[in-house]
Amino acid sequence: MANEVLREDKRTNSQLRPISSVLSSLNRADGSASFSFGNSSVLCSVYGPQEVKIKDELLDRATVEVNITPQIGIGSTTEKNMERIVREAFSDVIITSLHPRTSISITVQITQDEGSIISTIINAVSLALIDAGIPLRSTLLSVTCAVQEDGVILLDPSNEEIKNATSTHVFAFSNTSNDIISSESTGTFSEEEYFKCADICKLAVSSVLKFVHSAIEHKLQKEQKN
Amino acid sequence: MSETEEFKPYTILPGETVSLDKYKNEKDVIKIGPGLLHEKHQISAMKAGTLKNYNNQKWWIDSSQRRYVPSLNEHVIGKIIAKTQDYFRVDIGSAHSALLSTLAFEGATKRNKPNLEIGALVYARVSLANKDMEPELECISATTGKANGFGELKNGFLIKCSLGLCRSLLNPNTPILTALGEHFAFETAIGMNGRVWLNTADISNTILLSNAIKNSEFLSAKEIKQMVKELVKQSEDDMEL
Amino acid sequence: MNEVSNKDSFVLDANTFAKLHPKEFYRKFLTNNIRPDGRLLKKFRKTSINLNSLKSAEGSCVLKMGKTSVVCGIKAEVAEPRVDDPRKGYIVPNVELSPICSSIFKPGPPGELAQSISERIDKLFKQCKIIDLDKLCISEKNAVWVLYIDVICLSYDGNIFDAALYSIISALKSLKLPEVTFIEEEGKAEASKEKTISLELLSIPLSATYVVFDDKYVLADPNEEEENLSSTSITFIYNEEHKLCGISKLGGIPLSSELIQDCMSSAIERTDSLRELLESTLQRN
Repeated sequence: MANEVLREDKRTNSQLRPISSVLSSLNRADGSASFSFGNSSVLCSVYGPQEVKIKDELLDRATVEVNITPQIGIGSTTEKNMERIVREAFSDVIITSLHPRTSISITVQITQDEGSIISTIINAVSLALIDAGIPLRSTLLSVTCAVQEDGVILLDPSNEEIKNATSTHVFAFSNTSNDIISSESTGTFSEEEYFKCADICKLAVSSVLKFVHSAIEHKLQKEQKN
Repeated sequence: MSETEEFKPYTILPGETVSLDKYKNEKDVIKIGPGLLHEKHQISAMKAGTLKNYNNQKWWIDSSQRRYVPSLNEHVIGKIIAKTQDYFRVDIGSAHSALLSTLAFEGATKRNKPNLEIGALVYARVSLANKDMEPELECISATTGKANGFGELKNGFLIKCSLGLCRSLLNPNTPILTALGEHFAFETAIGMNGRVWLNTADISNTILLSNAIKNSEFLSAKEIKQMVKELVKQSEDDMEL
Repeated sequence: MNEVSNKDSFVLDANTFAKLHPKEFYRKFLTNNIRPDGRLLKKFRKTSINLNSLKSAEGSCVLKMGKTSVVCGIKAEVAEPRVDDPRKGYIVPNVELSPICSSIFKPGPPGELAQSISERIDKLFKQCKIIDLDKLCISEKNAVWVLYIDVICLSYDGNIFDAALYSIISALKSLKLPEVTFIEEEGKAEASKEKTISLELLSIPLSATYVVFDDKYVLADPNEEEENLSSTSITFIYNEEHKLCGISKLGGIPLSSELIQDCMSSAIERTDSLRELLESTLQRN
């Protein structure tokens, strides 16, 4: 990160866009949260542990379902791939063995896609699960970065930056381990670039964690006003 | 004698480990409660909330959620959704519906079974809560075998609220109930499963009280007193019309 | 509870033990550095490809990777180009996992796994220059080649992504298109009878997948059982210049960079040997 570059939106290459989130915004869901990186925002609701259809029932743990709806139109293979990534990422985070024969249903609505959408989704899902009180082994958070043609690594890229990048990397880390939990990298890149991106994203995730911590603290203070 | 530190409750996120060594002596036995997970020789948080303790011995995480997970000996309000010869099926808001044996009532025998209709509300105690089995309820006290307030809740009105609000309502000196009690005569049953039952002589009062209780969740004691005063005034104005 | 015990009183035969305690069964093999199917931990299954066996398709490949077998067929059609790029042809990849290959797939619309793999392959072709789409243009704004790439799994025994990608690349290498001229006045395209033009691939990305069992054993090219018993999987896509074209790590267990680097060198070896196999198969044909 020796060469700090200024981008279109006046950020440096190692700066995240402003983060914001709202918890418990949906009053029918067991848990809900919205999360945004700048103009990329997503709303997530969680229902569970609740009744499960017999055909999806697992005898020793809860069945986790993820549904992602895009900003415009109905879901396609793009959304199905993201659903798989999210479900797999949270497979060891949710302590499903505590609620056998139930279903935990996660629904995500992309309200605006301005780049780094998978990271936005993972963070919203984490917050919604926490809001619902689903037992979790860790807090899982994610950040994306893109590598430009000249080798400069941009943190939390916008759609325009991703289009012009040679590779894009999504990483998810949890607060219980220093190693990579989830990783999706596309484009053409070297091994060195991959590990450098992992380190940069890991550092960024710890700032997102600080934000999440204060958001939860704020919510708890409101609840315990009584 | 003891070198234990003073503990201050703090906000904790899932995954954060808790080291209790500095708060106890070597021989002390520690009990970990709701929200804490003991895995691989470490105690960590499963939920986000405030880490609290009692006497440095009992530790738990205070958090609120909407969905009820049955726990032994909790008092809940359920709705009968089906009945057979031997048991009633009761919806208590958990993932699986609960079973209430027709014999689990005071004075019930094989010949003399309670006559509860589908849709009736019951106040019961959770007698079996196991993650692998359907929960079971009883309408008699665990020790005496007498009804002790359990059984059918006739008339009245049922509201759903968060688990945290129900827990705070269990304290009879809670601001909202004392404030309402100054102006209205009512009876209430609090279910730990996020359900509250209310009954007064007048239906409009019942609705008014249930709305007041629902709105009181995030208000301070002062704001509650204010809100109740306004509601009382409004109802008196309505009566004059 | 019940184990293969040394006492004479209660002994389970291997098959029953494998059914009752699959993870324990695997552990007994892995501690001795071998897997129940006889492979070493980093060994890939025997892979074979057969090119151009489907006469109705412009390019095809039948692939076997252990007991996983897929057939890839490429149908080329002339169509109007897409609105956003009138000078390029395009490809439509589609992977099908139906009950024919395994009872775990139900009949009906494609499930999550099939759609996820189709999407990953589509993204790979969009982001890494594999086919020169300009070469698929017949007449700008009027006619371009559309390649419908269909991968049908005939037998599912794990690692469907590696099999699907290799079969697609092999089928593309064997693709033969006829020469087409676009007649402006009539507004239609005419194809010659002979199929002579082959598609030059700009790069040849191939993949290698690993799973992690028990948080410490890394198994290459998992079969279906190993996929179900493991806690995470990671796929590397390398091209012929040993540059990465994709990394996909699915699953919840964390992986250290040392473990990932270890897999990377194995993945480079594997993808190189797959390219050699493809070259030698093409030369024989």
